[in-house]
Amino acid sequence: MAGLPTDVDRYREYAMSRLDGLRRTAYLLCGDWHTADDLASTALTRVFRHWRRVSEMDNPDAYLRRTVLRAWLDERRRPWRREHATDLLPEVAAGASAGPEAVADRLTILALLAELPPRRRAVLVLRYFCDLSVEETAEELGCSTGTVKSQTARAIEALRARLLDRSAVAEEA
Amino acid sequence: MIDLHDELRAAAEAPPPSRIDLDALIDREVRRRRTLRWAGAAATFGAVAALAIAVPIALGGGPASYSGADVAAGRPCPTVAAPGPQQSHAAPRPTEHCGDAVARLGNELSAAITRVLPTMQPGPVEFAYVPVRLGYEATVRLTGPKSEDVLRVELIASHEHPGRAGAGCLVRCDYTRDPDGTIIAATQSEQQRQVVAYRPDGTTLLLLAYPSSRVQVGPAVTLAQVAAIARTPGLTLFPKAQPAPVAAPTTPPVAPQDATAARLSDALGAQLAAALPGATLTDPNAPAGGPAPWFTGSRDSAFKAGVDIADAEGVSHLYASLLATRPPCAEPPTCERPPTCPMVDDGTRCEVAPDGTKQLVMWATDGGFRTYQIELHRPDGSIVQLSLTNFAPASGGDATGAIACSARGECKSQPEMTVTRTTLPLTTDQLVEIGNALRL
Repeated sequence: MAGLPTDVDRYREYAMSRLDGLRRTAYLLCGDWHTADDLASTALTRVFRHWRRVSEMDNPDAYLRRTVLRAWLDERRRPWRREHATDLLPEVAAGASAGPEAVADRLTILALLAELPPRRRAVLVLRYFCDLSVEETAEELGCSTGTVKSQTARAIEALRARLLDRSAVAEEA
Repeated sequence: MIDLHDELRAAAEAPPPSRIDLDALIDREVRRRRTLRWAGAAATFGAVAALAIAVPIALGGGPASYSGADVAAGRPCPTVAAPGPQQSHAAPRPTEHCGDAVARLGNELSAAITRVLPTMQPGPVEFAYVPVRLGYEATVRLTGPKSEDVLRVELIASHEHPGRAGAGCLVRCDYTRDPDGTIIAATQSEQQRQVVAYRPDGTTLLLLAYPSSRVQVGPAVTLAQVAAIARTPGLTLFPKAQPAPVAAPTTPPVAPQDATAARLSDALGAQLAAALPGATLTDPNAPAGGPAPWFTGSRDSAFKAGVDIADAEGVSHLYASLLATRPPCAEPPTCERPPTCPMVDDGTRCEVAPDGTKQLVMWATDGGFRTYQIELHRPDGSIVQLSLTNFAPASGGDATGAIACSARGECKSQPEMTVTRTTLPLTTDQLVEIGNALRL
């Protein structure tokens, strides 16, 4: 079909292989699995529309990550579009091995992330969850490496301030 | 010591099943691409067709029209064999001979200009009959002491249903409804004044005033003056008091009530009687002697009812609908997400009840208009919607002639709306309680 990706199977295979990581990244960015699915779906749709070009890129993963990041930042700029559920949905069941403390830690880190400004939060997710370097993070966010370093330092400083009574946050050089 | 890598990985572990259906996503995009391609082809075809029509007309000296010169020469009117403008309802067609209409409208407009704009000297006032639009057009130059304006006047057989007249008058637009039923929508910018008058006899009158040269900043004619000309009774296509453009709606025969509809009627009636013991309930759709509320519809479509609630403070209006659209949610991956809270100026609350019902509660005010609306999205797939307002298209109350906004934030002109009481008799919590009692 003219104008459509001729290798839909390749796209499907690619999307399936990246779906899980994409959803987790989106979840850490937005803190809500429903929204994370929306963001991932948006990103995958955009990638499908440009699949012919994306598939020829050196690093299609970076494009996919950037797309979900932009989708989230765009979404943040339209807060009235989001719902604000008043009850927490029991979406994530605690694993058998996860004790109450582990669950509390997980909620704590999500709560702390939620308090950070969007771009600062994105910096942490890209650097410490996606394991990107300072340079790669700067490229993803479209800013300078100095900005990434300062945003990282400030984000960690904020986390440290909140966790001061528990422990220190490990920093990467 | 907390390692941020580990913390973030732990926070994102054990995700719920994905709601993303890749095959559906691909199918949707394929359909979208196909639709876009068809739309593009249709637009291209439309443009080519428009050119094919416009070019011969332009080459032939403009659209077919009949003007005062034709009247003087005794030429017959063009034959109106074309279907005329696209009409959204059964509006009347003008029956006056076009030669008579051209002369009459010219006199009416001249007199109106002289009356409203005594300091301006009008040029020749000459209407032209435009058969394809079933209307008349005139362009008049207005020379003042320090300016020269152009006044463009068009009369067409209204192709807008009176109920929707002025619906486009939303932003920086003055909307008024005259005692005779004429709706006036007036807008202005620095460069022009525009008034559209929708007459109850089916005439739509458009007036546009603008400066004759780009040097002049804005027309000298004011918006009020243009509106005054628009209000001239003689500027109509139906000079001899034609009948109303829209026939009175015939009351459809009352269909027998579905068993579920009857049960819902009883349930809603009981709930309202309990919540508002002194109120009188009436349903305009109920058959003579039938109970109120009176649900109509079926399980295949929806069950709907509208009930007027009258008490000492006035009348409020409750609209209820129950719909069974979605299949029951069996497994989490197929479950729909909670409904998104729409944007509402005043407020929205979205909650998930212990039984899994997703509740939307919305409240909105706009001037004197008040709306409470709730939606209950049940796990069995049914949706209950209740909307309580203090306004309705009913007689009585204070005529506002304002723009009304629905609970979903959609605003539109509501010329027929009247505020029937100042407050609403039920709280949103009571509406939720009533909605919970209504089940398919």
